[in-house]
Amino acid sequence: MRFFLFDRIISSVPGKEATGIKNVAAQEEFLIGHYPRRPVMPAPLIIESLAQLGGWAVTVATQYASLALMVKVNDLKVYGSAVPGDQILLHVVLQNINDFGAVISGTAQVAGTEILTVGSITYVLYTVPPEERKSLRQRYTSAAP
Amino acid sequence: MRRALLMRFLMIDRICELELGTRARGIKNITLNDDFLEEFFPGMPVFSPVIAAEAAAQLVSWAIIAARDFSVKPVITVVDSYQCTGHIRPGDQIEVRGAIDSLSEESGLAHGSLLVGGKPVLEIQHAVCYLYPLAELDPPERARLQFKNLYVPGAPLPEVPSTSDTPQAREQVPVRPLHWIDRILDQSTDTHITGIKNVTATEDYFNDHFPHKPVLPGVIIIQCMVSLAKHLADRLLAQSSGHERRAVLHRSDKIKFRMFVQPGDQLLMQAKLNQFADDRSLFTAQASVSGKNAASLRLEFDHVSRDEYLQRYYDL
Repeated sequence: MRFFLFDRIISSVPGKEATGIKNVAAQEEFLIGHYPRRPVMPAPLIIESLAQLGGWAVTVATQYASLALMVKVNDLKVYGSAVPGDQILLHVVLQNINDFGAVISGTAQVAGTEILTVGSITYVLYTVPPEERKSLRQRYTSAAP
Repeated sequence: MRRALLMRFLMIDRICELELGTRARGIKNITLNDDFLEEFFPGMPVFSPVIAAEAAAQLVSWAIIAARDFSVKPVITVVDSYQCTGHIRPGDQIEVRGAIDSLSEESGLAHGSLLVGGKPVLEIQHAVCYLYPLAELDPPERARLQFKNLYVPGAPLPEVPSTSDTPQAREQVPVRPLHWIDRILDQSTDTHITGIKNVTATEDYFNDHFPHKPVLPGVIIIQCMVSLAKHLADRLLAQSSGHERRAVLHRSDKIKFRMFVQPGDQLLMQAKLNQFADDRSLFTAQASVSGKNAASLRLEFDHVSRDEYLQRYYDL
């Protein structure tokens, strides 16, 4: 199973925030058994969607010098759910970043209604070897629209 | 033995509007995790434009199944024409439209289209199906439950994004190449190509197509023949343009399915090149199982460079 939990960035301000999209499709493997009588995207995977988008924003903020590894999630609230056909609008705001770690906050919405928020996701930064930064930058920036 | 459910073959995510037996509109979401992503040029993953046709077929199918109170399921036999004018990218929401032109006790006639951002990307005209007893393919209570989850009356269709958005892919991610042909038997000439696909019970789409009777989906048969013909067209293009131009399916017509292809069958496919020019090629292709004609169609490919591809199919 592939594990790309956001599909697209729709806007971003490097060092500040990013907005992305996660499409929910009936075809997805995580819906098998969750639940047998009604497919619902598991809330922990929506956290992962926010964490992946936040990680993307952190890597961009460090100018491709670091990858972000999630270590802590605080103040999680789940208000609703996402089912096949829904498009989740993910929004993350970079709260803090230094040489060792970064903190973001995030919200997930479906059709204008908040379904999940996290007060903070904390990452430690993993340094990308200098010789690999160029190819990482290329991979992040050359993706066709 | 009960097969483990790994991958599905559910090509409609939501039905938003439904007039029983007449017309329907729905949504199909494309994710980066989709099993049917392919790349015509590197770094540009799109949802297989052939498999995409299944979305319209399944939507029409639901409109007929519900109209006949879950007693029948349509099985497609003839499609007059399929035309693809744009490719669908991960992150896109497809608006799927289906309309039923006529419906009798035994058969139906329908057409459908797919739109992304309000623009048509795929059109299917004059599709004939015959109605098969549902219970022989699918447990009716399962179909009822699926329909109950799918149908959200009055749910909004995908919005047309405002032009101020500048969508971009998250980053380049690897796309697994899809292997539709198991073996190419003969490509010694520049006009014919022959290959086989072995149909096996472990293929994932049989989980949903269909639970009681595994049948190779028609779009998969088309996809196999398209891949075979494309292989020959791309080889000829590499000789004449050095990989600069590639073949992209633009149109298919006179599509006929003549039998159920099932696990254990070996699909022998032959594509014949009828015309080859700088900008397009025309094929006729046929698939058979044990000497019996299983399916046939005509294919028209556009030959495009990367820039032409971006302009015509990708950057809509």
